[in-house]
Amino acid sequence: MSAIDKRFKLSALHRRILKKPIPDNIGYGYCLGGMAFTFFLILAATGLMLTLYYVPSEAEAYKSVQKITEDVPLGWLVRSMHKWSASLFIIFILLHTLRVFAAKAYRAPRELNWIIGVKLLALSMGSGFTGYLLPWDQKAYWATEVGTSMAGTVPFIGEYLVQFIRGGREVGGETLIRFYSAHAFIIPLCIVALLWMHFHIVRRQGISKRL
Amino acid sequence: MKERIEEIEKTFYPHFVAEVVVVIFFCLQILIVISMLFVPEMGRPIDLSRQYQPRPEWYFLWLFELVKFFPGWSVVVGTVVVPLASVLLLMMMPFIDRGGSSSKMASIIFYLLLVMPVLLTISYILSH
Repeated sequence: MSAIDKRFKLSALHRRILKKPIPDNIGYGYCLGGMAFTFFLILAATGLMLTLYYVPSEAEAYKSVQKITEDVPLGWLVRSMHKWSASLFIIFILLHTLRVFAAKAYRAPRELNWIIGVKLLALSMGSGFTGYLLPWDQKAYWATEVGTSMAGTVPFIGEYLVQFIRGGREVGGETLIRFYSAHAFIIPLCIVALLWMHFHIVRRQGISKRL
Repeated sequence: MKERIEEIEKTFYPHFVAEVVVVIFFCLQILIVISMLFVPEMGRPIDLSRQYQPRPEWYFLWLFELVKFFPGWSVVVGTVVVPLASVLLLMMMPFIDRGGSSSKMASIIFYLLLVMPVLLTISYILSH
């Protein structure tokens, strides 16, 4: 053990995490952000499992979701968990936001962490929006059609904006690949980066005192 | 620094670990129960000839409702201006609240930003 510890410094790392001092006047309201993070981890785990069978192509997407739901062992459960933890993720981010606001914990010196939090909320909603298209069914198609057309109302650049989001004039195979990339790679990577900053700042600044 | 050590005696381990583990399992329990009870069904395959009014995720309902209030050219207010302004206002909270009376101002803005989507969501549900 000591040979391993000498090389990887594991016990030092554990001491830093395990012996981290925590003020004793915090209640269960302080769990809300951690619960949101728990659902994020579940989303990542179930999402990665879904990528084993999901095919992001115009011809295959619907069939692959059908396969996950009907043929793959426990596929229906993984898909159900992914869908429900997405909703719970948003709910707990909102509750966490309320708690932080009520405690006035966004005040100096925590301005930056509040802004990062708002960005995380926006990214999470973006992830929900892009993920909604992936089952490639009626509901998904028309919700994306309506949702992306909203970008077209911007003066002057609206038309280009819609084409950029859709990858073409209409919602189609290009849109599906684009949304898959955003949902499975781009947005999660951004969320992980922002979460790291979010937690790092909390550790450096400590938990805000009660009012 | 010395002062800080005196007022904080509890550490993550062992004081909080058990509670954190319980909360994590609580989250998993709720999720698994809901996921097994309400399994998402397969939707119908895409039919381009039959357009229908889709229902977005619950956290986007307010945006769909908001758009109705801005007909014609002003639709951009509902689709872009209001949502973008809401996010920016929310981000600006620490700078709006500079203590004293501005703190009350920040609270009013925050709770308005909270009430607006809630009312719009209720309005959407009632009208569908």
